[in-house]
Amino acid sequence: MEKGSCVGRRRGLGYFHRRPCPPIRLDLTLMEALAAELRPHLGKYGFLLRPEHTLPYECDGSTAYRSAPQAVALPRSTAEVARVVRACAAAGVPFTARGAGTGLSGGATPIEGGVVISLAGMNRVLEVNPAERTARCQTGVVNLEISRATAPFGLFFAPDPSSQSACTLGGNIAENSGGPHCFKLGATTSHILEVTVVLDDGEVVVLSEDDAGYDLVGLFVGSEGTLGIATEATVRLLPVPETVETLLAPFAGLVPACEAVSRIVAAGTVPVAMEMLDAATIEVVEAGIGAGYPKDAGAVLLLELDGAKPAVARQRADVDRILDECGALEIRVAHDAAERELLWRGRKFAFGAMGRISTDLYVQDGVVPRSALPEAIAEVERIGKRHDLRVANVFHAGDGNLHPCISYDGRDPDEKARVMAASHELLSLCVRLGGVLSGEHGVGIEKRDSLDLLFGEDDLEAMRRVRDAWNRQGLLNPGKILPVRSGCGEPRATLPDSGMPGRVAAIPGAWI
Amino acid sequence: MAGTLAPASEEEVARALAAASGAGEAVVLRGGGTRLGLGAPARTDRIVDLRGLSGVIEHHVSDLTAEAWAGTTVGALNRELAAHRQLLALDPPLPDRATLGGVIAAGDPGVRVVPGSRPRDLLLGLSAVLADGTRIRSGGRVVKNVTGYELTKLFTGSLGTLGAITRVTLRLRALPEASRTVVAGLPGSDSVDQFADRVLAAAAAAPGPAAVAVVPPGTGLPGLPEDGGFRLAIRLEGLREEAAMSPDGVAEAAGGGTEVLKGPEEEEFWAGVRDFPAVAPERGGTLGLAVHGPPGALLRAAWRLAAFGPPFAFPDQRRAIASIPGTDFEAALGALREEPDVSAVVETAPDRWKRDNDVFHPPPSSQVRALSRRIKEALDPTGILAPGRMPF
Repeated sequence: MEKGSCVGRRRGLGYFHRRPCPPIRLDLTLMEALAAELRPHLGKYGFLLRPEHTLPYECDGSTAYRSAPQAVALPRSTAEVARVVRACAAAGVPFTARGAGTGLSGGATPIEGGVVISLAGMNRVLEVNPAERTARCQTGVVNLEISRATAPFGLFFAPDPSSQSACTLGGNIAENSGGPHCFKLGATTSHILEVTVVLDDGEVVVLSEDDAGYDLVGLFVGSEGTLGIATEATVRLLPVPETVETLLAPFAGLVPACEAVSRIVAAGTVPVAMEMLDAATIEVVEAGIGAGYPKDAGAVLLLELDGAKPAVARQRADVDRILDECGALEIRVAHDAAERELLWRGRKFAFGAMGRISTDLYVQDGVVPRSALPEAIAEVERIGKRHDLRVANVFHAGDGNLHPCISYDGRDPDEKARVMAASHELLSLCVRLGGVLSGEHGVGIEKRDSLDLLFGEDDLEAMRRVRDAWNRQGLLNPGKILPVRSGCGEPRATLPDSGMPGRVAAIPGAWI
Repeated sequence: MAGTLAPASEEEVARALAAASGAGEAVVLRGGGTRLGLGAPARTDRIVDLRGLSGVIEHHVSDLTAEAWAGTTVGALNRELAAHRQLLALDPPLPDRATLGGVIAAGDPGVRVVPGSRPRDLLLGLSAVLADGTRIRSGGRVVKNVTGYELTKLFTGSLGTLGAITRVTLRLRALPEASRTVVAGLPGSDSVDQFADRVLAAAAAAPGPAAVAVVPPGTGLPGLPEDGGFRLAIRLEGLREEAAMSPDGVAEAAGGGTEVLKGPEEEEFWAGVRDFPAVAPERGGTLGLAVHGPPGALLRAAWRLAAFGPPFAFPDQRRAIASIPGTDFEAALGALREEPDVSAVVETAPDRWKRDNDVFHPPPSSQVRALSRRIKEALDPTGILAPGRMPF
């Protein structure tokens, strides 16, 4: 094992402040040669070179990291993706797949330049098989469109990131996306049966859960586009439940609300979602959206039960009792679909609402064991105070998946530095409490240099070897997930000085 | 005869593997030995028995997670958890022999419905020793995690070819308050297509079942009158109200009568289904076959296999298992060729049979084999861990 390949290992604040390596310089004639090779197949507008055309692809939802590609390919089929990949591989040009660009860790940002392969044009649901409860889709299809297409059969696709009205299946596969309902139903990895992948050399392979041998689907889902490009997938569908109940329980503070969550799970009741918002979040949500959350509460718990009617009635009785015992100030129930929609709007658009109080927003995605939530939240508050920052908490309570949101003004270098200091402390906190760095947003660029908080060098080396086994030239979405090896004192891929984390608030369906 | 090492700690496992690696000895890892025959025959110079690493390390009661040494048996863990009214919802064959590490390495999905109850769903994190003695960790102890590559998924079902799993962190659930199994008869006169359609419709009529199994005639399982037809068994468990669902919809779609199993009879029934793949081959020169594929094709394959031996089908797991006489193997393969969407693996067979015959029908595509080989070479570059066992 190679150890300590970089003496000046990035610790603490340092890594946020160093300049990135300049993108690999690719001369234009190379790109023009690629264009000449590919345009006869992709069409004149299927391979974009002009800076004003490629600039929109410089980042995803984590706008802190920007790097415009030299070219953008817009294939319409698996064969066309394969053709683009073959051409890039032959020319030694890095390539990065992109769905809707809603990711929050820089997964679709071409940090080392090269060609972005946009799958936005491959957006069809190809086949629904209601008897077997599966659908075959192109991976550029928007998440919510799958459930729309399968609703007539009483079926739906379970993963529901907040960005589901914009994000694509391919992005969900790359990031192993979650969402509020994955507490009960599982993240994307539990719902992918088969995936068609274009490999690093342009070969096309079908990975299936039915294959004997290694669980290659399990390895591929969540590999953030570094092992191949998914172009088609067969997904598992679930039956729409007979009945759904959505409850809102305000509490005096987060601690009793977290206690209620732990007791509900321990009692054997499995709500399909348990979401928490603190007072700071309630305030901005009410000002921005008006979801009807009580403004004087210290926290609200948004809780959903689903299933057959008698079962939901019983769960409801158990949940009501526990909420009451834990000090819920009231229990409000959505009486119809419109009320349910409004309660969920407050949660799903909470990030967007934060745009009201500051120009910039930094969102984290750490996870702690559920029982550590009260301690984690108290510590988050202390960290915020220590750095004189405004931190709002909105999180998936059932999974212990925190989303501390730090509002700040990115034009203020001092405040920005304090955000980065707090951010690193928050990640360290999650690890110290037995948790991990990311629950659903992925590592991407954002957390790759913090991975050593959680894993040792041997663990990272094993991951690196597995990645390199499939990503042989290092051209597939380079600079993601694993710390980048570089010359000592020359760490790469960090926040550019001119850049700033944030402006997530500009995206209403930000992926939380 | 290969010598056996029985390390009692992670350090000893690391030393044993590093030594074997240095000497170029082929190592087969074992736990309870209930599924040791899976895969193609592996060259074996040395056996490393991991049952010495045993016991619960920490039970995080309010998080519903537990960390245990990989040599702990599933039965022992569940007895310990039961005191806290919790459960590891894995049900491999012979749970009092099957170890946690072994079940994960075998990737055995048991009899419950998916997603949610396969080893890949319940394994949150693991520690392992690679072939050269390097100790690694992957995953964590929280239920939601996308931090880094999913090596936990790779180790699940790796049949001991990537490393020795030494400790595991698992997701638990609360013990169900109640359980009930609805068994519906299926008309023996159904054609192969009618049979598959009927099973899918009847299974879909049950709300949120915990297990769905198609059970063949002639198994001697409790509560099943021997009238010669297949039965569809649907387990409902959880809260009392969840277990008490009416079987009417299932009965109507199945087209026959239903009965309900409860208590010890129900437990005995599911234990019989659960243990079948491990026990059936011991009943004399038979082959244990596993068939994978989409539910419809899978059920049709099970129907066709019934001519040779009793098949059990788990449609939502996309898996069926059957025990057939070795002499009928070619004929059974011929019948399976009627269903091109399924693949079959000979899971258990006499050693000599496996040496002389192909195990994978058909093997995965050449690209999948190449990708798998590259993973094997990345983590076990000298190739000492169960060489020959995987389909590449």
